[in-house]
Amino acid sequence: MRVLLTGNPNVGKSAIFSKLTGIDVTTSNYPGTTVEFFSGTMNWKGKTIEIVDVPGIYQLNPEAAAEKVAAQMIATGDVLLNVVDATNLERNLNLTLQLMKIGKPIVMALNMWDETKHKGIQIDVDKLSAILGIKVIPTSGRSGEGISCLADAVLNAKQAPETNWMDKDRWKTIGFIVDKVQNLSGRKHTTIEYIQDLFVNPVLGPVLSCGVLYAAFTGIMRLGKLIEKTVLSAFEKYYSHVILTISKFLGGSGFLHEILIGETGAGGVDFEAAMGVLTTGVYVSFGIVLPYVFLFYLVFGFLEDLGFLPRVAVIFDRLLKKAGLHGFSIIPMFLACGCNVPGILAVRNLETRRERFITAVLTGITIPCMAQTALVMRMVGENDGIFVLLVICTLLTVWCILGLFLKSTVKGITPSLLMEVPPYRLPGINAQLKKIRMRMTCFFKDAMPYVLGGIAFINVLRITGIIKLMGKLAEPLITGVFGLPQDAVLALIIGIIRKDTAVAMLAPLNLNSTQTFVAVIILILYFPCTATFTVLLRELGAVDTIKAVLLMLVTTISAGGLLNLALSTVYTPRGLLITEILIIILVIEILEPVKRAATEKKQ
Amino acid sequence: MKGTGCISLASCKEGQTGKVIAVLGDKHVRERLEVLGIRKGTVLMKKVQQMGQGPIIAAVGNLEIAVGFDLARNVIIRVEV
Repeated sequence: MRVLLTGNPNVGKSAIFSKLTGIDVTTSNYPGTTVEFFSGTMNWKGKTIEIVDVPGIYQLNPEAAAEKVAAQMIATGDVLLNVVDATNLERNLNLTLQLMKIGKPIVMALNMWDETKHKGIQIDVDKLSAILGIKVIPTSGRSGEGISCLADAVLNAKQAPETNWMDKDRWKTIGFIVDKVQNLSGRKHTTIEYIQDLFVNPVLGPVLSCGVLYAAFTGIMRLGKLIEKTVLSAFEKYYSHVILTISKFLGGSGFLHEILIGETGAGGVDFEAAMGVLTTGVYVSFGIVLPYVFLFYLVFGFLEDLGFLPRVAVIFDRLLKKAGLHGFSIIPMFLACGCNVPGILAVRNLETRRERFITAVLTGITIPCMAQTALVMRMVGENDGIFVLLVICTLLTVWCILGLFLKSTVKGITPSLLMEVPPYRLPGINAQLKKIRMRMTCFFKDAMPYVLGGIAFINVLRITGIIKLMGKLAEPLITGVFGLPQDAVLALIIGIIRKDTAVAMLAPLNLNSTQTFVAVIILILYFPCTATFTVLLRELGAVDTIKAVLLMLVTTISAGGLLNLALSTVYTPRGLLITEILIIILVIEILEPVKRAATEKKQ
Repeated sequence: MKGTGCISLASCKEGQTGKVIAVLGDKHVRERLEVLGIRKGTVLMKKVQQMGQGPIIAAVGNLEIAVGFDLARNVIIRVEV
């Protein structure tokens, strides 16, 4: 038997799925968390039932890619388990009535039942069940209330009764049902509601949102540095003995030694510069990437479950409009700050091809992942604090100019923002722990092989002399245009595989502060890492991916070249910073009103 | 006079409550709004609007819906006096 979990977005389908199957899936507090479907099995009373978690839809006439998948999947199920948000009965019934017309057995889970009490909502479950003619079970995905009743009901699900209402009268029917079964009583504004309203206040909202984001990022950086130091000293204390033993065993030199250990100095192992799979590879994975990614997901997971992101989408709507997008695109972009892969995956929630393309391109080019950010900030910050600001402003400038370009060149439409803004919900600790565990496992599976494999690969290139050849070939670009030493080509190649490893490889090159700055900007912009490239290809298709890659190359060469030119001739870093800020203000605040005024004049 | 108090969601004041009397635009636009509960007859309250033709947050029943400015111009409401 195949049971499909269907319902509106953000009603807790994934939480119910987890409770039924024991399989961990990501849940969060915004619509569209599940973009791919998950399937699992449940053993109940001697029977094995397949459960599929379908992406949320509002109706059976879908627009977004994720909704299309859902509608197609519904046709394949034996039983439909319709998950309904009890606090929004009216809107949810719209889908229920449409599902009933399909003629498959249906069971309704009246989810978020625990929330109805403090919201002053009373629903007569028996009456609702009688009117609809299907089993209705009050549940709470969070606490697990009602789950065993639900499993029983699914096992004995019966065909939905024939409905005799007309499609055009659907809302009338819904109104009639809601009137009969639901009773609302007055309630007070809670503290958490005051806080959530402050975050969309036109004046305080942007300040608070930016404040929270700033605090989150600096917190991650500070704490990350602390963990990094601890890991490094542990590595030097314990792990270096292991390395030296292996090094001795391998005879201190040779092909295998080069690849696994790299260079060992007289004083011990320099984990950042040795460049072996077991030295630098393991250190970058555990000492640098892991702490920052872990901390990012810890903070991000909390904000995501709280309901912070949809409000950020509202706040940033106006900015994103400059790039031909609307506020919702901030969610993929924000996700990408941890790792670009989930960011690009979340692009699927956007409605039109134009939005998906622009968001994916802007994300892939201008948003560094957390590990990369941490390394970049540390490296440029070492020389002069102003370069940290300069990196941020440069990326923002590139974002603005590229966004403006994409807005005017990519054909298609971008609809206006329209989304549900869910209430703040305090995240449960268990759900948080589960989520971080899942994300970290995912990270180890996806990222570690790339770090280790990337370093092995680059060592092979180095030993065989291919790297020298590539360096020579790329010299006009690397030295001529970007003003970097020929050795930097090594880092740029590894950047295709893993960006953070590449940034770490810049450290031993002894670049001056301008070179470091240009090099990290190029590394951030020029090409997504292999993992991101793979999802980009899958989500956009071959043609659009080629377009995206071309855009990346053009952006990188012009940005890198211009920055090098600017800093090596007339500009001081401070002057460049001011110029960039002026460009950003021009794009965001001035260009559009002027354009609008011009067209109005014409008319 | 007939028609007084009819105003779009984009141009009414924050805190005003009204009943939707028409949703303009093509079928696609109307459907998008409808599935989130904004349709003819819905009572909603404009909670807040972001600056510079930014999106509007409207309270519809227990829900809060963010509506882009351009879209909000399609939602015509009769403001309760």
